[in-house]
Amino acid sequence: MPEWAQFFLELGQEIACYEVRDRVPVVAVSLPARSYAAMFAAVGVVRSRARINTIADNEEYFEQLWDLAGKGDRIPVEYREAGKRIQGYLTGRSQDGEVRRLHIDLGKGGVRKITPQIASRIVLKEKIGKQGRGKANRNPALSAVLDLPDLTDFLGRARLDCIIVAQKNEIRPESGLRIRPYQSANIEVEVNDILRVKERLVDWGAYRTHIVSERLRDNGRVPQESLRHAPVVIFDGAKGFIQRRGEFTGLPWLILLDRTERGYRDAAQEVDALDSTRVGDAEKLRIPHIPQGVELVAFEVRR
Amino acid sequence: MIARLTDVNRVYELAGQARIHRYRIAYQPLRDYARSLRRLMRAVGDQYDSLAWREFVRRARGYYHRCLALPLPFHHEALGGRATLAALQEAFESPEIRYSTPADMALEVIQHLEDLVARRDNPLLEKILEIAEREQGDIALVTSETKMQDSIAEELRRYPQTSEIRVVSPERLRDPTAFDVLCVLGTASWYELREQDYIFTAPRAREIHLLRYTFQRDSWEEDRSFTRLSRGSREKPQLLPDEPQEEYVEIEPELPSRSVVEIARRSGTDERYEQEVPAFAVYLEGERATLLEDDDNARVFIIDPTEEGDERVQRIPSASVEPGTFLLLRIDSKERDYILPVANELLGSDAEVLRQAQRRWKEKLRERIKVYGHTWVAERIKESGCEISTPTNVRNWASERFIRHNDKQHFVSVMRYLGFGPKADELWEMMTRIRHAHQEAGHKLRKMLLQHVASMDLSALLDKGYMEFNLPEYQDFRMGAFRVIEVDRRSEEVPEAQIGRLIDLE
Repeated sequence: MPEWAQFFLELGQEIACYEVRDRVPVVAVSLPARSYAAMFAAVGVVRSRARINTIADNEEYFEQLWDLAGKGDRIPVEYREAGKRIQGYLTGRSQDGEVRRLHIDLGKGGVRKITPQIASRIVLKEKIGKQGRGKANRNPALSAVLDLPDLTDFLGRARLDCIIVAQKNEIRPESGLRIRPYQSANIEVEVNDILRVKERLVDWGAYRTHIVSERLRDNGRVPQESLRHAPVVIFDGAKGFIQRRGEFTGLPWLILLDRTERGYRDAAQEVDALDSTRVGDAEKLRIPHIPQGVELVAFEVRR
Repeated sequence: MIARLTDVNRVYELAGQARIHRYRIAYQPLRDYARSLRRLMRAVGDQYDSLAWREFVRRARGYYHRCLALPLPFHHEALGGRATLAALQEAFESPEIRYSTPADMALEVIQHLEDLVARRDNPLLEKILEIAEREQGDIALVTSETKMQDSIAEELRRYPQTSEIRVVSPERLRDPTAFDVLCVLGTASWYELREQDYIFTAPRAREIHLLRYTFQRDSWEEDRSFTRLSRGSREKPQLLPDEPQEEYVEIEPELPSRSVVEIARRSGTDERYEQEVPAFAVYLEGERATLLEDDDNARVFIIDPTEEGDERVQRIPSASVEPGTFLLLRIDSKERDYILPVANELLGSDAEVLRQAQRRWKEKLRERIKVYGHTWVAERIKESGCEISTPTNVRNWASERFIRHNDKQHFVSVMRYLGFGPKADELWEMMTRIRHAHQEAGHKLRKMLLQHVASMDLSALLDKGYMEFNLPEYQDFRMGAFRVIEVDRRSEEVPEAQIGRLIDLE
C-alpha cells in the first residue's frame, strides 16, 4: 500500500477510536489529489470500529428488521438467548397498539415475539446477492484486514460507523478496489466488503457506511437516530463540506480538501473559521506520518 | 471518472519533488506598448467614460493580455494584432478621442502596436524551444488562452524539438494524470486570480517552467492551506530564485462578467420565442457560457471522454450538469436546438404542417398569457376541465420544449380554452407525431454521435476543454463539446430563446 494510502487508513482509524464526550475532533487535510483518500480513510474507520465492541442502536436496528420482516421472506437469523445461539428465521411482524414485535421462528423452540428493546438479540445471517448465504462469514481476507476472526457480528448487525459525503458517482468505482491484508498476502478483499455501504447492500445486509451525496438537492439525509453513536463523517471534497456540514454537527469530522478542486479556498476558510472556535487541540489524536503534499490541522470543538 | 492508482501515487511523489523555474523574458517592443497603454489608461481614468474610449482601451488591453499568454509570432493572425490595430485606428477617428487631451497617448499606443504586429518573432516561443531542447519526457504547454490552442499547437509543430508538445488548458491539470515537464505562460498571480494556482500547489510535473516578461510583476507566494497548522507540514515545490528586475508595468486583465442577466443580454433576442423560463448560468472553457433551463424535465447531451462505448454520449437532466462535464452545444448559427432539425427530417414533408399547427396553439396560449398573466390563464384552463392547471404548469405548456400533455383530457381542455375545441382530437394526433419524432430524434442523434465519437481520440477534448463534432449526416449544423468550468445555480427568468446558446464572454 502506498505511503499516502496508509496515512489515510491510519488517520481514519485514529479518528474512529478518539474518545468523544463533550467535545469532538475535527481533522482537515489539504491534499494534491482527492482520489481514493476518503475511501482509504473510511476503511480505517470501519476497521477500527469493527474491533470496538459497541452495541448496535436497537431502535435503528429494529427498524431495519421491521422493514425486512414486512417483505414476507423467511430470513435466516441467529437468536441469542441465555448465552445460547439458536438458529432460526425472521418470519413476520405484528403491531398491537403502539407495541411492535418481530416474529422469530426457532423451529422446535417455538416462535419468539421481539420488541425493540431486545432487538440486538437477533443477528442476521449474511446473504450477499444471489451467491448464497454464509459465504462472507468465511472470508479470510476480510477477517485478516479487520483483524476479526469471527465475522458474525460484523456481517450480521447493522451499525453506522462512517458517513461519507461525496460525489456518489466518483466514489462508487473507487470502492471496487481490492486490497490485501498485508503485503505478502495472496488473498484480497474488495473495499466494498469492508465499507458495507447501506445503499448497495441487497435486502438485509448489515451496513457500516452510508454515502451521502454532496449535493443538497439530492436526497439521502441520514436519520438523526443513526447519528447517536457518533459515526465519523468524512467530507470528500469542498463542495460537500460547504453544503452539508450543518447536518452533521457534533460528530467527529474528517475534511478532505483537494487543492485542485473548485471551492477549495472557501472550504479552507471555513476550516479556519471553525478552528477559531476550537476548545482544544486534539492532543490525544495520534497523527500518522504525514506524506508529501499533505497539510493537516486538527482540533476539538464542542459537541 | 476513476483515477488510476498509479497516477495518484505519482501526484504524491511530485508533491515533494516538483521544482518551479521562473523566467523573466525581456522584450522591448511589447514593453513599450504596455507602458504607452498604461499611461493612456491612467490619463483616461474615469474622466472619459465614453463608449469610444472604453472600447479603445478594452481592445488595446485585450491584445496585450493575449501577447502575455501566447507564444505566437506577433504578426500571427491568431493574436489578432492587425484586427486590433484596425479597430484602434478607426476608434481614433471618433471626435471623442481625436480631439481629447489624451489623443497623443492613444496615437502612441497605435504606433507601438504598428511596430509590434509587424514582428515575426516571439521571445516566449524562443524560450520554449530552448526548454524543449534540454528537457526530457512528456512536455505540456499550459495556456489560459484555450481558444488559441490549435494555433499554438500548429506553431509548435513547425519545430522538431516542440512538435510533440501538448497544449493544455489549466483545467486539464485538475486531473491526476501528470506530465514530466510543464511550460506555463503568464504569472502565477494571474492563475491565482482565477483560482488556478493549483498548477503550483498541487504540481502535475516534476519541472514547471513559468515564463513571463520582465515588466510583469508576480507577487504570488505559496501560502499554507490553513492559517494554523497544528500538526505536520508539507513539502512545497521548490520555487527557484527570481532575479531582481526593472520597473513593472501593471495592467490588470479584464475578467469577464459573471451574471445570468449579462449572459442573456449577450445572447441577443429572438422574437419568435418571447416566453420566459427560469435558467441558470453555466461557464465553459475558453471564456464562454451558456444558459440552461432550470426545470426537472430539461435535458442536455454530454460527452464523457473517459468512458467507453455507449456511455461516451449521454443525455442527462440539466440539473445534473457539474463542473468537469463536457456539454454539447450547437455552435454554428443563431439556432440552438439540435433535436429540432433531426425531428423535422424524420417528420418529412409533413413537418411544415405539423409545426404550423404547433405554432398556432402555442402562439395563442402565449398571447393570452401576455394579456392576462399566468395566474388568470391557469384558472380559466382549470375551469375548462384541466385540474392540473397551475401558473407554473401553464408556463411550462407555453415553453418551446413542451409538446403535449401525457393525459389527452388535459390537452383537450387546454385546446378548448384556446378555441381549438373542435380540432382538439386532430391536434392531439399531430402533437403525438411531433413528440414521437423528438424522441426518435434524441435516440438517433445519440446514436450518430456515438458512431462518430466511438473511434475518436478524445484526449484533445481533455487537453483543450472543447472540441468540434461535425456529423456527416447533418452538415448544415456544427456541434461542440465544452468543458463546464462553473455552474451558478441561482435561477433567473430569461427569454426561452436564450437557452442553450453558446455565448462568448470576451
